[in-house]
Amino acid sequence: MRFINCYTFYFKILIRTWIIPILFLGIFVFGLYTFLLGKGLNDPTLVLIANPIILALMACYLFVGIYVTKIDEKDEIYETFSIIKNAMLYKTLAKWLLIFSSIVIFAVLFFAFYLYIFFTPDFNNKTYFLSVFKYICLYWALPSFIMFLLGNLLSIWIGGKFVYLIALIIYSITIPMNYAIFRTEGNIPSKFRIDKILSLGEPNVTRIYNSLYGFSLDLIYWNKMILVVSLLAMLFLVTWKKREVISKNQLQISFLPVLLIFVATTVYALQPFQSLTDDDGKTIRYYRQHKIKEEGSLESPVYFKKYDIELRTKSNLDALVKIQAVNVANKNIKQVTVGLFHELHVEQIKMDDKEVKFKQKNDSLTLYFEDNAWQPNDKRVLEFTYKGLQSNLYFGNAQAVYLPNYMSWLPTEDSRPAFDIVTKYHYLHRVPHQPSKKKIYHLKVDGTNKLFTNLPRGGDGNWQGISSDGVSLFSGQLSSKVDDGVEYVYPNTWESQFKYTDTIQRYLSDVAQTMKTTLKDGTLKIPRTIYFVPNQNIADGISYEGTWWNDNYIIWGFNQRDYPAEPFFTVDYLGDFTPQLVFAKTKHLPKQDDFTFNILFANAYGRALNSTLKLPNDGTDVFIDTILESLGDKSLGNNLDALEMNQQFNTWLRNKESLNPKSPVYKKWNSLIQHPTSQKWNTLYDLLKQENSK
Amino acid sequence: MERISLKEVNKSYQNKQVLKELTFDIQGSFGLLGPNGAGKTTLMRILTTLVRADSGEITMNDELSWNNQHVVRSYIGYLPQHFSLYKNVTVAECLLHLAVLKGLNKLEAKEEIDHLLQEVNLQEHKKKKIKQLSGGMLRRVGIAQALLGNPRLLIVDEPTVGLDIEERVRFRNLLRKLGVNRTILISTHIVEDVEMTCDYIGILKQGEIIFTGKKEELKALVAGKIKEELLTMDEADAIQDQVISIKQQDEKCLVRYFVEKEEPQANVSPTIEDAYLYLTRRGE
Repeated sequence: MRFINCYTFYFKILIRTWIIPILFLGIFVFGLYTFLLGKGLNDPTLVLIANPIILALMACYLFVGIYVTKIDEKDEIYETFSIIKNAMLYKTLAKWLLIFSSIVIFAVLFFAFYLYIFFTPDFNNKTYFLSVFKYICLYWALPSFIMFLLGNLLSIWIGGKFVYLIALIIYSITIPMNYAIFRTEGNIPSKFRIDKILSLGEPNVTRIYNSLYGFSLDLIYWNKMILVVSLLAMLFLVTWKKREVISKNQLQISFLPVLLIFVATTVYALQPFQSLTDDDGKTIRYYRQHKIKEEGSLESPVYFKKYDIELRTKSNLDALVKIQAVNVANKNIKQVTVGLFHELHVEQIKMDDKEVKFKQKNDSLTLYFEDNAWQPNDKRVLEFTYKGLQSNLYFGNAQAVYLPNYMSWLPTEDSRPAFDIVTKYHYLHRVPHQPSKKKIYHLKVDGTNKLFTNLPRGGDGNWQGISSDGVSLFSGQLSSKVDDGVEYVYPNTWESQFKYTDTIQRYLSDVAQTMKTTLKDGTLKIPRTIYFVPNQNIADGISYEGTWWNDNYIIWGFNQRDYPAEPFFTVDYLGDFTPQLVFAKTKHLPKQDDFTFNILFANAYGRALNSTLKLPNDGTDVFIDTILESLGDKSLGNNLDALEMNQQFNTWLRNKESLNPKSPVYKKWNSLIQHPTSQKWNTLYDLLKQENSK
Repeated sequence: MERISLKEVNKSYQNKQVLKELTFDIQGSFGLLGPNGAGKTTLMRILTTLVRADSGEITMNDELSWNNQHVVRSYIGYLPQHFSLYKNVTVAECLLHLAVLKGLNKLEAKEEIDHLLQEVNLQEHKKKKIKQLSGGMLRRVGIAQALLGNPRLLIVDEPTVGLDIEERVRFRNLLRKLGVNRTILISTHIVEDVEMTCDYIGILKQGEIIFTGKKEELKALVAGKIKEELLTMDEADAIQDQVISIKQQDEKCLVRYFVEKEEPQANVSPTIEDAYLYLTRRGE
């Protein structure tokens, strides 16, 4: 009764001030306007992140927080009410509930309008819209409520107009755009970013929506909000006790649970976690700073036969991997080096249940067996415990999993680095790490809702089977559908692109068939599953890095910025994909790959394929020129001049025969990729020269 | 009626002792007099539980201790010196809000509000917003809110400050009426307020209680010590430390003053003001 009375009383007070209803109405109308703008741009993901509405809401609720406290803090009112038993407590809690309910109404209204504007027959994935609601709650509603509480507390502590100055300072450092105040800007990398710690809103305000990862809705961000609220609650309780609003007993009863929540959320916040960041340059910086190209080897004295993988994908990737391995060298092994992506920090390695010493350096891991040398043909069980992942390129947490077969997220015999920096343009190139032999896999995953993998399902959270090119895991904002026996897995915001899949299927079939016949490639299969993944970021440089053609499936990579507002899979665009698919096929070899050699082939041959399939070749010639310009004498090997090579290429590209995928040049070139020799550039030069002279 | 007993109550602010060893009882309609800075407001704030005493004991009927502030609050009605409420809310809405907070249910509250508004003569203004009320009306709303829930102890701080003569008289009559069946404590520096409304008086000077007792007892303190006669201004100036009041009458002044020794011819009947001045000036 008292509570309801206070609630309705403050509602009347707020509604009768002209400024507050006008403020809220203004914010609401402006919010709708931003939604309609997003509708015009045909991008529903655009209107949530960095929407100025959140700044307005935070400012408005901060002001309301100050106002509703100030009216009660006037001596003449405070004295009247503070001597009524528990009056101030009821009044304060009623104000909180009133404001909280107004925030809930705002959140629901904004979400309802979002649905009304963007929910269409072509764009209607429920998981996506649920994440939108969560986003509005987490980054619009909760920061608004926290600002209200802050306003409340400030005006209890600070009298007069000085409170507005302090409030302005607090507002400036807690809004999502606070990096402008701290001058940390959008993309400056740092382990300790004060702007990120203090920001109450979207943590990655300078980045666009990631169609695989979704919005930044990780538990750590909810935890942060609870932490801040519990901190404020403790400050309120102490303040109330000091002002005799609550008794010592009431303080004791209420303070302990709040303190426990505060401690628990603080401890959780200090745990390692992976989340999407706006620092897309992290990986390329690492490989520019660490000259690890010469380290590691493709050859290994051991063979990994069977993997038992237990993954926990919660706040971060936790892995326990048991590998049945055999010494295939003809000598005792006292140490062996295996590959593992450097972000995965190894905690323990055991061999036949006995701990072994190891050294982790960059993307390799050296195991020392010391007195327990590994005999030839001897089978051992290696057990690796590791955790980690921080990049924006690979994920392994509750929100998204992207652990493709080509990346060394499992210990591999191939200890080369996971990435390489190639050409004079410093492209970030993903070095293929998928195994080339059949291996047995047993996979157990805990923490991810829906997981897609190339392994056959073995039960709840279990997958097992044999694969000749490793294991790929996908999870996140993904949908799937099966058409004509082909499974399409794609971001749930791209539904409209996959309404009709016959164009994609026909295109892939044509490309695969033509490649198979013209290159005489017996390994090439038409995939049964296609994963469309926004797996590249701005650091990748070129759009060829994300696409991988495996035995039974294709990982069709896109840039994270490639939101398909327009249809992707039409004749106009498909031509762009052809060189990528050809390049993807070159990554399937258990050989040291030569990026420039392969990418030139992919473009020249892809150009010919497009011509045959009557697809446009926009951009291919320009890209070939760019790559040719990067050719240096050093990269071509002995006795070959880059300028001459360049001339032969250009002459070849002007030759009509270059548009014929059946040309023996491509067959031979492909053969050089599959069976590289130290003279491959010379051979190619001679081949082109010979064809050009015809 | 309730009896509030103070025993050795002390209070200091920033090393300055504002209240010193106060020991006295409050009962009936009790007027607390004292010059500015005597500690009246501090004592009122302690009695209303707004602040705590540094030491000493306050009890109601020797049972309820002021240490138990949350319980004490349910027995108190308080009209602060500077009283106001929310400007954009009507009198009835404000009173209902207060009544419900004091624990009355909505129906009871509405009945009581009607009754109290009638008593303070504000029935026809109940739908007016607080910002539309005059100072006197606002004080009457203040009394009405203090009386909500029928408190056993009514504390009124400087009740007539800022009111015009007509409102002041009306307000004093109201306080007089309210003090009939309950303990009422009125703090003021206007002696007339106390004279008109209280049976018991306490005088506070520099943090010490220098008198408590009935009105008559206070007056008796100065019986035979006051004289009134026509003097020239020069004669009046010569005894200015003893002067209580001066009224101009033609070329001379009718001067009321204290005599140094009790004189049988000083047969002027004493007032509360005389006694108050006598006590507060003593020792200066």
